[in-house]
Amino acid sequence: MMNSPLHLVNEELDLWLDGRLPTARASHLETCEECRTAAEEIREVTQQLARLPQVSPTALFADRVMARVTRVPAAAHFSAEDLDLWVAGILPTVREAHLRGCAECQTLADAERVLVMQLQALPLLSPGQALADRVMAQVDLPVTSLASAWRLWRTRLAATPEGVGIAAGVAVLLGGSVAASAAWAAGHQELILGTVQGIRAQGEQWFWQGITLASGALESQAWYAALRTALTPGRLIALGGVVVALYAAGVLTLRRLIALPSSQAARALP
Amino acid sequence: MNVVRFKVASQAASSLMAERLDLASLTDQEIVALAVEGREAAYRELIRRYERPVFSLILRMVRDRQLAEDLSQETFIKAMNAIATYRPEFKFSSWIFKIANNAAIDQLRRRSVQTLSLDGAPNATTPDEIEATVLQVGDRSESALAVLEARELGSSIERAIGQLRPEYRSCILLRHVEGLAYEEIAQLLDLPLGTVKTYIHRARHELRDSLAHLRD
Repeated sequence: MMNSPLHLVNEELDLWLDGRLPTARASHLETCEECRTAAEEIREVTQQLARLPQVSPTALFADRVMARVTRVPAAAHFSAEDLDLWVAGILPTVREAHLRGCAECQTLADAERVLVMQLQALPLLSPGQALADRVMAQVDLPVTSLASAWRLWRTRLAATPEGVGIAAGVAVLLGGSVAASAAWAAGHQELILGTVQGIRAQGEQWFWQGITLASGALESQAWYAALRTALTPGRLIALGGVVVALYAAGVLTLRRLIALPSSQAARALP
Repeated sequence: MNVVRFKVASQAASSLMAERLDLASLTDQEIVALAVEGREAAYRELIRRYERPVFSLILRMVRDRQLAEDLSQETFIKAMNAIATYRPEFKFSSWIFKIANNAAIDQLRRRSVQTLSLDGAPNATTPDEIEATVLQVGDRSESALAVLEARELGSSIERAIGQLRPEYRSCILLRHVEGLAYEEIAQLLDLPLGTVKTYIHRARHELRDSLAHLRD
């Protein structure tokens, strides 16, 4: 592998220090004196920094910080954030102490609390009757399967008296038709059998005529004799095998292509 | 015949009731998943849960009951028809409030309705302007709707809310009436968190000023 002729940039030197520089770039250091020197210098500085001792503050450092932390905010008037925290009951005690000495902030905080309580006590208002029905009349329910289609129809039909009436009417119509057909068929068996046999005989006749015509047309073709010679039984079996294999592969591919995603996968889509 | 009809009806009612009871114990996300599968009862459960919060938000925004009815219906139709696009990692309440708030704000922008406030439009400054934009409840005394509206939105705090700028009104209602967190409101309104806090603080300040006379 050829070494890269480009010098290492600062970001690459950082990566090299962390041991994360790709080998292709790290190998540049083997041939480039300039980069190797820079890298060694950086490593030396980094190691020196890491060896610097921790310096401790004086013993009273924490006390001095805390004294200022508690003194400064306690003197300041309440900010909007303070009011938020106070109303929520989570204002730090040191800030809350400010209220005891500041009438202005106490008044403000009391007013704020009353206001928030008034807002929280506002009642929920109700829309007019049957909002759900009005909405659902204009919602297109997704039909994801036969079962959901059936559920949709059942729910829609059962939702109103008109729907129930329609469903009952259709059921009576279908049931009546089936019963009437059965009764008529029972009284006209000979006619039905004769008609069926006639249709069957005619169908068979047309089928064989079609076969005869097609085979005659095929045999009259110039290429037919050559094809018949070429297609030995062994070759026919092999060809059949290939066709079956191609068909199976096609079916499997099609099934994968048209498969619906699972509900989790569908939800994961952007 | 009547007995049979009664039995069929009561069976249907009890099966619907059972389904409703089952749905009531599910989370919003679980109900949405059922709705995506095409279950009408799940859609109705979502509407049942949110019709009052959504309607309250919209009515307090537009301050007109009939308009609020229409916008609430529009909000739910929009949400229910787009239920498959809802992302379950967000709260359903935030999603539906976002749609509702957008509908209300769009309406206010479209109409720049000056007659919506009971005390005249918020930007009416002169006595004439205020007079011209006051909602004339008395003029529609025959209308039960107007009376209801006046009763619902007639309290001091409701009137004070009605005088806020729409963006302040959205924020304060979502925060203190609907109980959303600042972060949720920021996400819902597509505003920086700091801006939402500022709006809410200013809204509270204005409300305090509006209601000061009651404390005196």
